[in-house]
Amino acid sequence: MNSEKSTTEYLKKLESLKLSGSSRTRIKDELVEYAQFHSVKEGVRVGQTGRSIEQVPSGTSLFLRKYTYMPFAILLAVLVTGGTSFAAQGAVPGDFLYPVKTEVNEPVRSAFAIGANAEAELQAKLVAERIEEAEELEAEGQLEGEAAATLSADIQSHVTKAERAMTNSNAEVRTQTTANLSTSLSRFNSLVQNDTALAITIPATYGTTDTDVSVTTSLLATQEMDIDAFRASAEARVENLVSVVEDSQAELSAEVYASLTAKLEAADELIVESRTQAEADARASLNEASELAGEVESKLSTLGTVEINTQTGAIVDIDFDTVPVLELNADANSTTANESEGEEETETSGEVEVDIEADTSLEINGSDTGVSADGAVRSGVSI
Amino acid sequence: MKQSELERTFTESFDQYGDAIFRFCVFKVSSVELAEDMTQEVFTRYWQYVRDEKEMTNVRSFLYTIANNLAKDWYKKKKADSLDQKLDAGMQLNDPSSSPETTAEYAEVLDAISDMEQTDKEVLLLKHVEGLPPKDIAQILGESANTISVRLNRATKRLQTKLHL
Repeated sequence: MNSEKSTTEYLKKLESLKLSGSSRTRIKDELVEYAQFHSVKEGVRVGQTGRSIEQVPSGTSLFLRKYTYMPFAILLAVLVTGGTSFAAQGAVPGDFLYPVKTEVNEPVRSAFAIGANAEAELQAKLVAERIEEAEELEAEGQLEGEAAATLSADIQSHVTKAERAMTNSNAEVRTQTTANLSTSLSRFNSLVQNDTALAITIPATYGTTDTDVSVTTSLLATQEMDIDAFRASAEARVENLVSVVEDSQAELSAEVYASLTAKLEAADELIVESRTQAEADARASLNEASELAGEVESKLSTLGTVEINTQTGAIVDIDFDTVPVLELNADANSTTANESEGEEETETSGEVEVDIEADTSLEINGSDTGVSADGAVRSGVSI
Repeated sequence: MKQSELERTFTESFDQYGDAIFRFCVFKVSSVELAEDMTQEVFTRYWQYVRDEKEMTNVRSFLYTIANNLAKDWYKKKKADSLDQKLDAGMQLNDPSSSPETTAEYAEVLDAISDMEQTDKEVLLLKHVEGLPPKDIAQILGESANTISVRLNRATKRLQTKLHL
């Protein structure tokens, strides 16, 4: 223990090893200066709580990117939520997934239904779906109270939307849609006949036809349409397009102009051919010519804001300054045109939106048995 | 806390522990000049903690820990630039401002322990000169308390043998 103590005593002499007076003063002054420069409130902050002025909140850049990626975001949302979305398709009011069906799936379908014709048809289809739900509930004896009220209100809102769309749609779609609506609504009214408050007034303009009869009538009407009248209308349509394309030549790229002109020339040839063909062949040729014209119309409506004569459905003028979409892939566009041609020869929609959406709508329509069946019926008609 | 209060705490810490940190640095780097710079750097870093009002249970241990880390960095760097710095040759303690008597007093001891291991010297300093408990020494040097106790025991024995105490 003694040796331990003496060791300490011996080593304690090292305590005299100190900073020299001059060094001590210098270091202390410098430290105080440093402390004042790097003060508590201002000056350069280092360490974890420091934040430099360059650190801009990341939300700023997100804001800019929001629009660029929106189509992809929608697509992603559809893909990701696809499972739930699909599962929700069979839901009826009162089901857990029913809100997904009405609040998510249907607005998405509506967003993809481009143009007044498609929108009107979709709304009529949605009404028909509501009716099916109502029948399902009725079969289970549950068509009452809140579920019934929800359905009634929902149907009313779809009817309103369909009517709004129909003001811009063409005659054939209007006839068919009103017929469908009329049938659907009378079925619903017979389901809720105990509760008149739920019944929906069928507008007088809808007529009282049965769907099948109406479709048949409408088909017969087109089938019986005079071949000469059909040829004349196709001719007028192509001629009008030729003049519109000629007028816009300065605005169009050489490639686009060439492709449009080629299509119109082909259509013109078909029309000429139809004069010498038997009636069935002539109709086929004229249909083909109309399809080509439709493709041209679709393409034009993606290049600028299209002004349309509401009487004839013909394109009157194109405003290239307000281009609604980016330059499109020609292939994608022609696919769209071909598919949408199933609807009607005189495509009057002025509201062609982003192509990605238009393209995707095809898939949705395709997977939708109702619409594709509908399209098949009419394309089989071969005016 | 206000800047002025923090500054006062800061300078008080320097008055209180400046010399001890300086000694520790001298033992670590064997150069008065370098040890002075290191001491200043230790307190500079300490200020950054004081300013952010971070909690410190033991200021002295904290200062030693910073010094020990700086010394480690210094060794790494020294290895990197190697040959032209021959400070290892021995303590260069020719501080012109010190009186010859005091210099003689500690120089004798330094001379006695000069050929001892670095690890032995630093534990002897911290234990016998600064009076730190083994637990604190262990924390500063980043070793277990047990290792430090053993090392301290052996170093003390070796020194005693050397001095014939």
